[in-house]
Amino acid sequence: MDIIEVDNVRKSYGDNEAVGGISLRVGEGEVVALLGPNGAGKTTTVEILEGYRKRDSGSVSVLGMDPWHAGSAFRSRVGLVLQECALPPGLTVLELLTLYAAYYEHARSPKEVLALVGLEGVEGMRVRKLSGGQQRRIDLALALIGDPALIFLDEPTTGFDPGARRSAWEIVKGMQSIGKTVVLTTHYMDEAYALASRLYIIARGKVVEEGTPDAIIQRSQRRTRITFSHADVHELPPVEGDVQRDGGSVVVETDVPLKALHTLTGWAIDNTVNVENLEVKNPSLEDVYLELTNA
Amino acid sequence: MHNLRKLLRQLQFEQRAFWRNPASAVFTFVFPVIILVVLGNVNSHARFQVGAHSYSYDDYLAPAMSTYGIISATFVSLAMILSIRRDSGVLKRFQGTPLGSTMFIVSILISSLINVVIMMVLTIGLGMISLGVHFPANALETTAIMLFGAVCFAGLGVAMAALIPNSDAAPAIVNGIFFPIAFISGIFFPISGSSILGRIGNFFPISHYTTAVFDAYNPIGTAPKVAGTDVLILAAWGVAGILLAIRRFKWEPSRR
Repeated sequence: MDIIEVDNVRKSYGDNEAVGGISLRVGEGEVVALLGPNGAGKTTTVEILEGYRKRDSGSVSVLGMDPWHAGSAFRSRVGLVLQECALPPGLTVLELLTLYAAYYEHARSPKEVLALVGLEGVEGMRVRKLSGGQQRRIDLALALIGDPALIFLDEPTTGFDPGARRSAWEIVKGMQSIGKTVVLTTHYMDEAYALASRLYIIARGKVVEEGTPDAIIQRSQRRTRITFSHADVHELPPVEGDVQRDGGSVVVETDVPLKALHTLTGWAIDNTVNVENLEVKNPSLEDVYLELTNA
Repeated sequence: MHNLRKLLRQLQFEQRAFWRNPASAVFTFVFPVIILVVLGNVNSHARFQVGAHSYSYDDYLAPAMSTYGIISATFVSLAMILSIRRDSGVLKRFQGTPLGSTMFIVSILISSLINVVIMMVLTIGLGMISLGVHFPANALETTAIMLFGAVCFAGLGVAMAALIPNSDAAPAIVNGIFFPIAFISGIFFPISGSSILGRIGNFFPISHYTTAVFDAYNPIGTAPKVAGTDVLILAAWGVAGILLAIRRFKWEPSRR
């Protein structure tokens, strides 16, 4: 049985349907990302899985329990990082971790979880003195202190600088390597690509695509884009694919990038055309994502 | 065993969070103490009549400031702390742990009752030392009534937090309700129950609390017995508060 089994879950707020029939499966040890733009229904979905929201219809099983009716048996096996980090400001890091450790029967030690989130030596600091990124890591340390089997991360790196994002990614990879199951939401393509073994692209409350990042790109049948500009008035040679011209700048979308490049570069050399800004771009998750979520 | 450890940790947290927040600790404790010392010294020769007996103002003020302080430490303090924690998401975060909402509420109630006991000792002790106030004639009954009122006002504090739309508005709403009612309820000066202010005040629980505490305190041994109606009205407000709190209290920031 999978750790998370969700079938056709719906949730509306008034007339606004936030989640319109989502189904998901998450297996043990997987890192699964819910990727989608703001307002797509990611957080509502995750909060239904976390037990914060009641679904209108559909079935949900998380760790074999219904999160909405589950009590402390459920809570003690699930670690949460919510979208907004809210820690009691007056405590020191060690006091806060010790407090949370008391909630669980089999807690990890504060020292251990601080090492896991790469934040050692701040035990004596007051929470309010920590930077935003450090607070976020403490939040993550709190999620880990009960040694949960399943961890939910709701937009864990929003507002991070690039360096902090990279180190947060390392932490998530570390969790996976110690056998944790992780469900994360994000609107960053690179984050989903770097972390997720599988992802669900969500738009307007529905799953619009699902699979490993590479499989999703492949299935999308996006073509390679060749772009360049040239100042001369020469006619372009016939190229396999779609060609768009706007003055001197040219975009070629093709299924046979090697052949098209050969034709174009041969033409440029033969006619001494001065080609500038030549770029060849493989279809990316971002292209697929934008296509799927804007449609 | 595990639950006891949880409770003690949570209680320790509540006490730390309270005393380390200068705004809450100072406002809760310093204000009633200052009023007691200032009004007590300014009016130290004033006397007033209850039935056939004449009391010194200070004997009236000390137990009244105790009730004022107790309401600060329960109603005001809980309404503020809970609405701020709810809006900042701290409550939602707690809810995601195996702590449990009952354990959370029980801990914060015990923590505020600890503050109430400190408040009682502080106000009465200070009154006795600096203003020559009498020791309560019936210390046990006085303590019981004070603590009973504390529980009622704690319930009303949680209910208040449920009614406060957002934490920015909390201080204005809570103090805007507390101060005028405290004033017309005879917390600072005795107010005749038959006057217009007194009659309005009698609708609310504070005047009944103050009267019950004064009657139990009975500084010179001639006060009437604690009236059952005062205790009942206080209890009715407390029960209403607790019911409203159970029905309406939210753990999450109100955004939708």
